[in-house]
Amino acid sequence: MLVDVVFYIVALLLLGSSFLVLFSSNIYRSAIFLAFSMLSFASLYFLLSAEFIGVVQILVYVGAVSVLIALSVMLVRDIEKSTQGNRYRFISNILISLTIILIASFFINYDWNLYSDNILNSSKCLLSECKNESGILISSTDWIGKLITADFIIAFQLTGLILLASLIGALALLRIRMGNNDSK
Amino acid sequence: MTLSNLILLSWIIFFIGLYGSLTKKSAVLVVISLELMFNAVALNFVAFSRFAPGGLIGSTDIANVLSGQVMAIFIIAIGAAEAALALSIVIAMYKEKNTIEFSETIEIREKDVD
Repeated sequence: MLVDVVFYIVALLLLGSSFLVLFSSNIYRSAIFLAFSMLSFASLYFLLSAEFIGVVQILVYVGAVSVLIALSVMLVRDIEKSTQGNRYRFISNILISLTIILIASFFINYDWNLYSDNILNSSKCLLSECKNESGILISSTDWIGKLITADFIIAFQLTGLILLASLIGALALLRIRMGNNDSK
Repeated sequence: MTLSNLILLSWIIFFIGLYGSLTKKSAVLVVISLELMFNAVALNFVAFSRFAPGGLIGSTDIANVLSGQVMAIFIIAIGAAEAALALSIVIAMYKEKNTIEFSETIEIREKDVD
């Protein structure tokens, strides 16, 4: 019961802040509402008893990506007309509504009773209250570490390669452009 | 909090991100919308790993169940890398063209098309 109330509050916060990301008048406010939306995602992960993902979400998105986006907004200084729509608005609205209709037909016809809540009874307790019951896995972090280093090792190394390549690419892109500007 | 609630929520967030990335003029808002879409997909993975059949309570098949959370970690890493690269492209575009709109920076097309 308590988990359901918390879930609906968090879902309302998430929907409101995600709408305000796109429809606020200032792009600064969009960045701030993006941070709020990422915090709501992190609290949803905590509710889903995926606490490691929640902490990583707060560290990476609220801590790093929001600051990165706010800094780039400060650098580009194009704030006034930056929240307008582009010229492809009409045809993309048509495409998005067709996709929504297609997925809604799948969503309505699917049998959702296949999936039941089988980690802990969500109407009974929050995470900290369930600590002493048997059969409930509280900490999943060590299992995630074992899985990453055993089953997903190739994906893990490829992710590291992608991170390194994007870092080198970002630095090279900015250095080359700045060098061109200096030579002018 | 059932699975269909969570899937509906992440679906709505995904379409908010899709709408923003297709219709907004500013490149920074396109990057923000892409981040929303990444997070909606990660929420989908975590929700399915929580409500998977044969879940954590027996902990015999824990590798199958926690694969969703591992995928969410990979999505977060790729999303952060994409944000850094895309924002550096936006800043380079602003330094070169003095604008951050994608439609004003297309140079690949012919000059006399429109």
